[in-house]
Amino acid sequence: MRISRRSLKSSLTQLGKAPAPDADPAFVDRLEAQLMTDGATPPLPADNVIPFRSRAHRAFVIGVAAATLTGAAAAAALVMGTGNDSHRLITATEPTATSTATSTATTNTVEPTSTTSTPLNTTTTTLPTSTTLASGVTTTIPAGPTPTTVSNVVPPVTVPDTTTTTLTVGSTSTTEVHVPATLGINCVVDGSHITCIWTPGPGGTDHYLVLRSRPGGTDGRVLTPLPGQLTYTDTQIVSGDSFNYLVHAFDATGKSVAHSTAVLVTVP
Amino acid sequence: MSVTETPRTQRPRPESPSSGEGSFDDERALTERARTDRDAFAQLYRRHVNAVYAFAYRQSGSREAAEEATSATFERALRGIASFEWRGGGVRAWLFRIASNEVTEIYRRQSRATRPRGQLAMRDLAPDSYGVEVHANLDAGVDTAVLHNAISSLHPRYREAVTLRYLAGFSSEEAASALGCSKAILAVTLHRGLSALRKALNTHLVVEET
Repeated sequence: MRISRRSLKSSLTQLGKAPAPDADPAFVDRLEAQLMTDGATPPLPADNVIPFRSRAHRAFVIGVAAATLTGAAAAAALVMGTGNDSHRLITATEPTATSTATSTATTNTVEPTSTTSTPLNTTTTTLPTSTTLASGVTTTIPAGPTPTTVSNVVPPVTVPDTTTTTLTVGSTSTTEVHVPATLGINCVVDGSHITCIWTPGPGGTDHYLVLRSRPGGTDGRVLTPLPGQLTYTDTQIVSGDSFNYLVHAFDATGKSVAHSTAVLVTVP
Repeated sequence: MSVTETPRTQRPRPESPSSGEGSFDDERALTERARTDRDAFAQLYRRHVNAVYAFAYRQSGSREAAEEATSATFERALRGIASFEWRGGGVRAWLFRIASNEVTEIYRRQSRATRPRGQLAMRDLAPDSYGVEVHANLDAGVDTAVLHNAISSLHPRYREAVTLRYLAGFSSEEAASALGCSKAILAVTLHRGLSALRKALNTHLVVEET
C-alpha cells in the first residue's frame, strides 16, 4: 500500500487535532523550580555588563542612576538581572525600544542640610616653543590646535548631605541611605572626545563610576574608569551631542562615599 | 479510507497570546524583560508550558518523551532568550521549533540503541518507556508510531515546517513568519517535506509487507 499526498495531509491534520493531556502539575512546578534556581543564567552581552562587588553596591548604583537619569528612556537604560545575576548591572548601549525598564526609583528624599563644594583649581602651564636636540640642532615646536571648547570648572554647588533612595525592582525594595562628600568634576571637549576629570574622593575611596545621559535622561550609560584614575575619556561622541556627566566614588565594599553633581557638556 | 480535508478557515489555530493571555505587545514586552529577568521568564514559562507539552506529546506520542522534550526546550530557551529575535508567531513558535528538535533528538538517541523495526517492537511491548501511548490508525492507515518516527527522520527544515503547519496548527502566514520565509517558500518547503515523509512512510510499509 502506498500513501497518497492527500491522505498524508489528512493524517497529519488528524494527529494535530488529537487531544493531548495537560502537563502534570507536579512536573510543571518541578521544572519551574529547576529553571529558576539552576545556574543557567541568561547570557548577557559582555560589553554591557558591569560586575558589582556586593548587592548593596549594585542596588545603590542602580538607585542613583535611576534617580539621576530621569525619564522613561533613562530607566530603559537600566536592566537588572535577578537571582544568580543579582550582582550585575546592565546598561543599554543605545536608547532602543527593545530595552525595557525593570527598575524604578520610587522615592528620593532629600534632607534639608547641605554642604557646599569647593571648585576645582585651575593652573596654566606655558609650553616651550623650541627644544634643543642631543645633536645640538634647535627645533621649533609648532603651536598645537587651540581647544575648541572648554566647559569651565564647576562652580560651587550645593548638594544634600543625606539622601535616601528607595529602589523597587519587582517585589523587592532596597533602601540606601548615604552621606556622600562632594566631588568636583570638570569636563573638557577636545575634538573627538570628552575628558572628565574629578577631584579625589575621601579616604577609603576605592573606585569611581561615571554616569552619562543626554539632557532629558535618554541614552543613559555607566562608564567605568580604570581603577585609581581620576579621569575618563569618552570617545563615543559626535558633533552636536550634549551629555550630562556625573561621577560616583565607592569604597572597597561597594558603598558610596561621594558623588558630584551633573555637568552638562555640549560638543560643538 | 475516508479523506476529509478540513477547510482552511476551520483549521485549529494555535492559542494566540491575544486570546486571553495578553496581547502580542504584552508578550513582546514580557519577552524583552525575560532576557535578563528570571521572574519574567517564569511568567513566559507558565504561559506556554502546557502548549509546548501538548505539541511535544503530539509529535512524540509519549508523556515521558513530552516531559523530557519540554524540560529541554525551556532549558534551551532560558539559555538562548538573550539572543532570541522576535518574529511572527512570537515566543510560542520559537518554543515549538526548539521542542520539535528536542523530540527528534530523543528519537535519535533511541535509534542509536535499537534498530527501527526493533524500536517499534519495543514500543509495542513497553509503551510506558518512551513508547507511543496512543496507537491509532489514521486516515491513511498509518500507525501513529510509524508517523512519529517518520517525522523525526525528516530534514530539520522540513520537520519544522510540517510540525508547525500540521501538528501545531499554525496558518500558512504564521508558519512562514515563524520560519522567517515567505508563504511561497513555505509552500515549497512543505511540498518537499511531505514528499520526503511519504517516501519514508512508503519505504516503511514496503519493508513491513515484505
